[in-house]
Amino acid sequence: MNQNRKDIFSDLYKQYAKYMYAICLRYTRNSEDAEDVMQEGFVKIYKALEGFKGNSNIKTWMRSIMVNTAINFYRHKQLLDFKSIDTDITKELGSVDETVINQLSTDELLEVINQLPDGYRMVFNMYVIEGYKHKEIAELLNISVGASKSQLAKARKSLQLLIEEKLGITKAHAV
Amino acid sequence: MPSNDIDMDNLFKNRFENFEHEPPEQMLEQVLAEVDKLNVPVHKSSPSLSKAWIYGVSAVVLLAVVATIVFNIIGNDNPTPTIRLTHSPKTTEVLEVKKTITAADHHTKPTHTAEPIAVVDSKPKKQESIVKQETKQAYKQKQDVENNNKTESTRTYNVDIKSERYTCNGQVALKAEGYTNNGQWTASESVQFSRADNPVCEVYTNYVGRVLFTYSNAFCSDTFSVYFVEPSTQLSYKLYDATCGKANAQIAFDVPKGRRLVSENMLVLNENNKITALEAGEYKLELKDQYQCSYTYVVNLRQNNLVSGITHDALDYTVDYPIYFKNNTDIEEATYLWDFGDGTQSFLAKPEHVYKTPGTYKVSLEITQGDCTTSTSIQSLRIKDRPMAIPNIFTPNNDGENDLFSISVPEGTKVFNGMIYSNNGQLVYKWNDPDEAWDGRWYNGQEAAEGTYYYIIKGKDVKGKTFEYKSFLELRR
Repeated sequence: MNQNRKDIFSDLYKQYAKYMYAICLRYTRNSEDAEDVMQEGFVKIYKALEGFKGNSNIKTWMRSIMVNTAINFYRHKQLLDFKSIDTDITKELGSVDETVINQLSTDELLEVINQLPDGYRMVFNMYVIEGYKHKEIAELLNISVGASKSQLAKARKSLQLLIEEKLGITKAHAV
Repeated sequence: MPSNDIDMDNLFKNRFENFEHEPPEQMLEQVLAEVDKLNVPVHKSSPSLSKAWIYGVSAVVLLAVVATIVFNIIGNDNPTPTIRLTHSPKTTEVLEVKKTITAADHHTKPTHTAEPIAVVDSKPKKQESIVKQETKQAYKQKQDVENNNKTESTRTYNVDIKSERYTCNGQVALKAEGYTNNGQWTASESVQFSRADNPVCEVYTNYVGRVLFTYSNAFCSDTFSVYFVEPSTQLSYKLYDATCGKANAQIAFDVPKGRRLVSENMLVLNENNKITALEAGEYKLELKDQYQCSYTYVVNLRQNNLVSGITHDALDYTVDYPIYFKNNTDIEEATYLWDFGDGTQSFLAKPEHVYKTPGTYKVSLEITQGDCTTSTSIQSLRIKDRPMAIPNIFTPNNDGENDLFSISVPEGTKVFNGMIYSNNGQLVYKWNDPDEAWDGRWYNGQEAAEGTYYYIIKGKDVKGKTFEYKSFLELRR
């Protein structure tokens, strides 16, 4: 009965699966969670296909569904955890510049992002890579604009710290 | 925003903007399988299942147990779902409904308030274990036969709620399932039922403590307990404003003993019940304790400068009197460094200081919190001399101590006259410069004898006002 819709859906999947999966990997802690989010996200996309009006870019539309799915995945599980890295926000770190980041492959950078506590990772991804505004992030994550900003600042610091630790620039800091 | 943040952001954006990663091969298949399930009327199976259950359970109560087990196997048209496989919202709902029915898992996330949080399931067996492990059937049958041998009216069925339920607001919704005909709710403590004769009802109570609820009809009765905790009280908290334009504001909660708070939104409450590293701004705090009591506050954190000013106070701003210094910064864990301008320092937040010499001093305060330091200073703190310091004894014996009769006069003294008279009224010595002093000799240089002398010190102070002091002075050698 829905064969036509399924065909369209399969085409969409084939075209965007890699891109969407990369998003899922970025928003989750590991590939297992990423697969769960991907699966749930695509089911949502299938269900929402009728509602897609074509007045926005389908890639952007799919991406926003995927991001929302990832947010809900952690919110639903109440797994949002910020404790895993005790970042001293005031600590001045050596600047992580191009030469430092270029030492790491994208997969390695992904590993670093995966290590971020969930809240930091969400805000960092949404702000830096997806380009959401703090106000939008605040609404989506149900936090204040101030919290979004501070999470972002902490995420950046954590990332720098994690990168430097990964490259052995700084010793693992004592907590 | 520092430029290196933007640089870093851009580096990440460039890397990940069009980043692609091969998903697992079987992913499309799995998604399509989930999509296919969407077309199956999943929802309808749930009510029909429970209806079937009532018949099934009735059969058990009135007939033989074995029949039910057979029914359980046949009647359970949905295989027991495992958590990993249920990702579509609809199948998740089914899972949750089932969880509510069996309700054995106290880790189940708190059900929505509209739904009953406590469910008595009068079905006599654990459906899941039978379905999962058929090898247990024989044992189970034996148990059931034993149960059945008891008289119907006293038989107690398994209650699937093993864990205690806690409720915060003195309300709980009850729901009995299974063979519930003509049953009645009773409670061990004083509570109010919305409809005690209905298997589904609401309970209200002011009672704090454990309440046993029993649903019973002519054939069966089930009991379970609900613990009513003290309702939420207001938590006290302290706000620490952000300083130095940094995200270092804090909110510290004072959590009553026995309550464990968790944050309900993305603000992280750490193990010391603090939310740290916040920027100035308005925050909505949504907290819950382990009993699902919720606490909501809206707080406003300001951006504070570490130093908002130095204030000082003294009985008299003169030498040898303590001057009390204060600052209106109230930041815990800050360090203070006062410089009093006379070469002395203090690390106290509110020090007192005694100046030894008159003069004008520049007082500065440096406050440090983390790597954030600010300083402030007051340019001129004027310390006057003591009104007039006149000794009443001196020993001109060249031992280096008190060899001179010298007067320290207030700063700015305009006119000064010092006169020493012997006890028979003869003028012994006279001087007009307050920096000079009497060395215990007559005008002609002859040593004055030991004994009592009389002095007159007079002159005009800084404002032109005359002063005069007269008294006796003892000379010893």
